[in-house]
Amino acid sequence: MRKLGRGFRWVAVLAALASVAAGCSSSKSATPSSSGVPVKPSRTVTFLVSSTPTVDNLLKMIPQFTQQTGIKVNVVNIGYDAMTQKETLDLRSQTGSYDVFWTEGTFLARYVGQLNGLEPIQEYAATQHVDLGTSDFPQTLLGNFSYNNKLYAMPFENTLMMAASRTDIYKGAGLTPATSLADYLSNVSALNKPPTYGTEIMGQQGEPVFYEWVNWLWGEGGSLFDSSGKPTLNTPEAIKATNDLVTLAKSAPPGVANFSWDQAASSFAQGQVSTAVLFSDQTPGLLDPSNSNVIGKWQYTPFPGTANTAFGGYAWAMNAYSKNKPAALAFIQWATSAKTLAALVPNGSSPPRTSIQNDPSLQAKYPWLKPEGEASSRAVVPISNAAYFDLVDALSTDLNAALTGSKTPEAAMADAQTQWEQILSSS
Amino acid sequence: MQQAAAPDLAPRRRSYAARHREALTGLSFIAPAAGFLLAVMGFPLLYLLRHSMNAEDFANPAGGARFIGLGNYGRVLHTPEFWQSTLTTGKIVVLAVGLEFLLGLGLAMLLQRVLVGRRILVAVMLIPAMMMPIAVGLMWRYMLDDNYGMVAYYLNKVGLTGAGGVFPGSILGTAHTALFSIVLTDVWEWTPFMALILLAGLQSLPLEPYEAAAVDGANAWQEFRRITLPLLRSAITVALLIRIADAMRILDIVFSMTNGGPANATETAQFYTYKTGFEQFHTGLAFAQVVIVASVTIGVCALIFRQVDSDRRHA
Repeated sequence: MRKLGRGFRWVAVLAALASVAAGCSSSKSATPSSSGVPVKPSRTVTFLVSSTPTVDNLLKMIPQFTQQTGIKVNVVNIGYDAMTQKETLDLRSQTGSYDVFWTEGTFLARYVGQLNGLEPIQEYAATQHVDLGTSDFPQTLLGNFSYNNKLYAMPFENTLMMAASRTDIYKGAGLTPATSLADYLSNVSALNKPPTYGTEIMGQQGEPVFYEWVNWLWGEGGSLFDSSGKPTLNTPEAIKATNDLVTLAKSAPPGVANFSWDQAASSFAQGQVSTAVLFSDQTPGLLDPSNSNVIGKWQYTPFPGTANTAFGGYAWAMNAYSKNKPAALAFIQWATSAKTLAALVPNGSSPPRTSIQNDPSLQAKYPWLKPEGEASSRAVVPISNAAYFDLVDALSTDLNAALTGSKTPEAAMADAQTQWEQILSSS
Repeated sequence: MQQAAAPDLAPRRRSYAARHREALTGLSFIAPAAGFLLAVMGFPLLYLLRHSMNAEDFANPAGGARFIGLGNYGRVLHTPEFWQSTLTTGKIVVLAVGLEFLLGLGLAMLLQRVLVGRRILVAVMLIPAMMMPIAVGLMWRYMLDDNYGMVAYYLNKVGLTGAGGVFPGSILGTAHTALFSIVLTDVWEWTPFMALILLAGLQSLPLEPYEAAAVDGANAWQEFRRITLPLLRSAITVALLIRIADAMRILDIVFSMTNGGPANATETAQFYTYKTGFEQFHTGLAFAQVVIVASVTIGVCALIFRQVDSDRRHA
């Protein structure tokens, strides 16, 4: 027995030495994959995401990535609210359950500023000698996913707020898409002929009505904060923006005070309205024959005016506590590569890369690309503050109250101002 | 003839030591179960209470967890949104559970008369109660959609909603109709459950009081008022307690139908707590809200128990 035991010990030592040697040799001799990142083929990346039409199309392409790199992708696809909660819980617990996940510019103050949970992706890629091609993305866009001047996520969907209009109705009425807020209001009023309404708005309290409104605030010359960071919601511009929304609601289908982004896009796709401001990640729904009555009868133009517009795009971030960082980086590099993003365009995606947005051959085939490219340069994250959810909740409730008539725009803005001051002083 | 000794009927006096021993033996029997219950229920509750006294934000670990005593409770009780959401919860509970009780009792009495296929009917009726509340909320959200909803279409046709209707605004976009829509959705889902409990109660009632009442010439209303309702008291208490406790926790339907809107008109206490805890991650505040709402729920249930008990003693 003792002899056998000694034998086992030798076998164990030899096995350990062999595994160390194998590990060393594999790390040295691992050939870069087609994505350029040396990775062990057996790695699995866990990807936390919420479904959108473009995300669904990306998920269908994942077998190509696995085939190219040998990296398996475990997709956790859940609802938007549940996703943001899981991300926060995971970053706080520092368990690294998810290697790659969805982030938005508005989340960075929490994910980076408070939880220190995202890997600065550009810096990490540099240590791995990986080129993410960031020079192909507009600077404004990269700025939306940066915190303290460091890039933390690679843009995937360039979700912009675009003015969608029915070309047939506009042509019939002798109108052209608005280039100013006054024109927009005038067009909407002129085209309001129920059952085809002039417009719709995303009026549901929470992020929908906030995103809808903030474009009007900026368009009217207002801002959310002054240069010292004090809220500026009870200004004439903010009240005017709220009044604009109330005016628009009068030319909108019933129930817009409860419309979220999906209902807004659906309303336009069904041909119920002639004009709408839509998030551009809803474009696939407008192109889908099983969903859309307006195929070939609509166009995008940038939101009227020259002021900034709200950016709602999302990007893929790497968990700082991930145990598979090289594989995670390889996945992000593949998912945001020009080849992958270009492959998603025919289904209606909003590619964030300039080379795709400005490609004349693609612009000719996919007419939404050109106006989206024009709108990109002025699309910015509206709030970069860890109290984002508190602020949006408070303001959106008052905006919703103004829309439903339970508060005047003046009272709504005064109340929102008070609440924002309280939130910011206690945070 | 010797007289038999009279049996000693007086209770035997036990010594203090014997009684003490007996109590200890009893305690030793219940100790494992009590310990288990304390560990399973007591620890989480203590944890909840302890953290409800901290100023802590889950998403901000650098902020730490600072003990502030009853500070969170004071802050919650001074927040108008908390009171508004609690009042909304109260309205939903009273309206929904009240309607469920009336409809459920009627349904149970009708079902009691059905002799053929009752089991199938009950099984079919229970389908709504088996569905996930969030799915129920979504389904009704689409059915009540002003533009495409089937129910909204017929409500419009009969002049209840739509331009020129009794309620001209949007169904889910107007405060009172949105609240009532949530009440009706809850009623749709839970009335069959209420009916099932009351049906079980009705089937267990003795026949003798009814036979006696028939002999005395009592009419149907008198039978219902004087016999059925008093005898059904236990089943009614159980049904009401279960539904009140459940309705006070309403969240999913609100989340999927209105997201608390319009202008917080349908925001319930649970939805407000959910927002505080899971969107804004103000953990200490959310824990304090949970303790307050749970205390109110327990208080309401205790009041019902007390009232029923008092009725029984005076009956």
